[in-house]
Amino acid sequence: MNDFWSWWVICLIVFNWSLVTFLLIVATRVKIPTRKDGTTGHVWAHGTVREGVRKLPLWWVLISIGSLIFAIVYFYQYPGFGNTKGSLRWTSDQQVRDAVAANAKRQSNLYKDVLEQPIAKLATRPDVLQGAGMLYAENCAGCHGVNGRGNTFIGAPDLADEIWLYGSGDNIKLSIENGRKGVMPSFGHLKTTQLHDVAMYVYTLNGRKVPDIQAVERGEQLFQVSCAACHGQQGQGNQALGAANLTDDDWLYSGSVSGIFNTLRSGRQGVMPAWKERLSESELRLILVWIEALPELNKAENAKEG
Amino acid sequence: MSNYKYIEAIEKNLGLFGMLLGIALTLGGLAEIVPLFYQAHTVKAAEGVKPYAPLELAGRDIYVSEGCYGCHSQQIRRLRAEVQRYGPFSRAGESVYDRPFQWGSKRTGPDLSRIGGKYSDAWHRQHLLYPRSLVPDSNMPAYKWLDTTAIDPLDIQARMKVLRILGDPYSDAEIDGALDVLQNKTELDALIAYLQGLGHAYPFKVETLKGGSHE
Repeated sequence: MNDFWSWWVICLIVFNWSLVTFLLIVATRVKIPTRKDGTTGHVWAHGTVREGVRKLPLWWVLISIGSLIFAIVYFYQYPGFGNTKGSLRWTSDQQVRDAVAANAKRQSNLYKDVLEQPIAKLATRPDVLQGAGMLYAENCAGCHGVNGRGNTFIGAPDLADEIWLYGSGDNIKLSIENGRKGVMPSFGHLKTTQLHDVAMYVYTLNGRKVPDIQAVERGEQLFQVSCAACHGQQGQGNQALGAANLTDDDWLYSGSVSGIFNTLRSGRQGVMPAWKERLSESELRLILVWIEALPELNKAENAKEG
Repeated sequence: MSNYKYIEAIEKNLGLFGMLLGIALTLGGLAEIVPLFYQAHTVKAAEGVKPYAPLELAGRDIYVSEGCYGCHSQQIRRLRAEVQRYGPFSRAGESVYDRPFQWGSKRTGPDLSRIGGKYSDAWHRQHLLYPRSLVPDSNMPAYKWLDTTAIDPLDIQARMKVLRILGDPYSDAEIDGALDVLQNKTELDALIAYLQGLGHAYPFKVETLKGGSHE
């Protein structure tokens, strides 16, 4: 606030405080003229109700005096009297910083373990899992699902299985920190029949059968020309590129012939956002703990549901 | 004491009593509210906060017209739980280009002040069209018509011109370029662009207030 508004506020406070104090002193001392019967002469309901005189109750007077004193103490300690900062130098910024720091201190032992102990060990500790689950729910479940089974609508991989698009171990942490960007190009320039042939071939890669063997053979030839550079000659994928293994039963997007066809025609550019700006090292590790624990947690969940 | 006549005058005259009561109640407002009217005009854009790009501007207006504020706030309060979940608390300088601001206080859904970059564009697309395909428990409505409703580039360009009159520092080049940027865009594209831009002006930094986990 500039000086004008600061003085504006100060004057209003002083005026208001003085007025209330003045009224408290004067109005409580005013002698109210009474009649012989002890009433004031104020009447209601045609004289059946007459107003008497009572002193203000002591508690009321004390609370009023207390409030006036409180105002002085408050404005001395806290900001609010114009631009004054108050003797405590209190700010809402500092209050939240202190609260965060106090919490960090309270949790420091836990976070020390999180940073030092191996992920597999942490994944067996209920106190660690509690925090890990919250972080996962807030940051990861939107795409990968509460139980980590992924989502084929947006190509979010299953985190509870053994299959890792970009490799396991440290690569998982790298994926979280820096994000990933899928680069499956569109093959929309191929003829529809060609796309269909490739889709048929890819469909059979994990051992599934289709009646049209010739389409599969035509598809294989096209696959070796257009797809093998990333997905490998046998369709086994390439973790360095994030090219999916096409020979397993795990499908990022739909694994049906039409689903594969759509992927080929439009391409897929699945995006994993980068989290290193949002999450600290220990928070990242907590999420790794949750991912590690997911298979066991899901097993327990399934057992509970019978 | 003769002072009684003043008190009697107030007590027995409803009009006078009402006027004095009005003055007493106004004092608080004069001290607490009026300075803020003028204070609001002195708030400068926080570092990195720029007027909305054309597509984001179109998206912001869709955000308002669809009533997203009815369920989503854009204000991270100065409380530990909030800064730990959503990130650094909101500053006044971050919403200088919002007319009106979208702070809100109703959170049926989560706060969106720093949602930008948290999910991919594809996620937002899927989520706005089919919310429950991603979050099974979500009670967010589906906004399917956004995908089939086109943006009118001339309309958005006109809004930018008006905002410039109101003080938003758009350059001629930005206003002229708006038509190209908005060509063949749907309301869905615009809303996603707006959401993805939210909170970027004050980027997340692990060391700022993330807390609970300082290394």
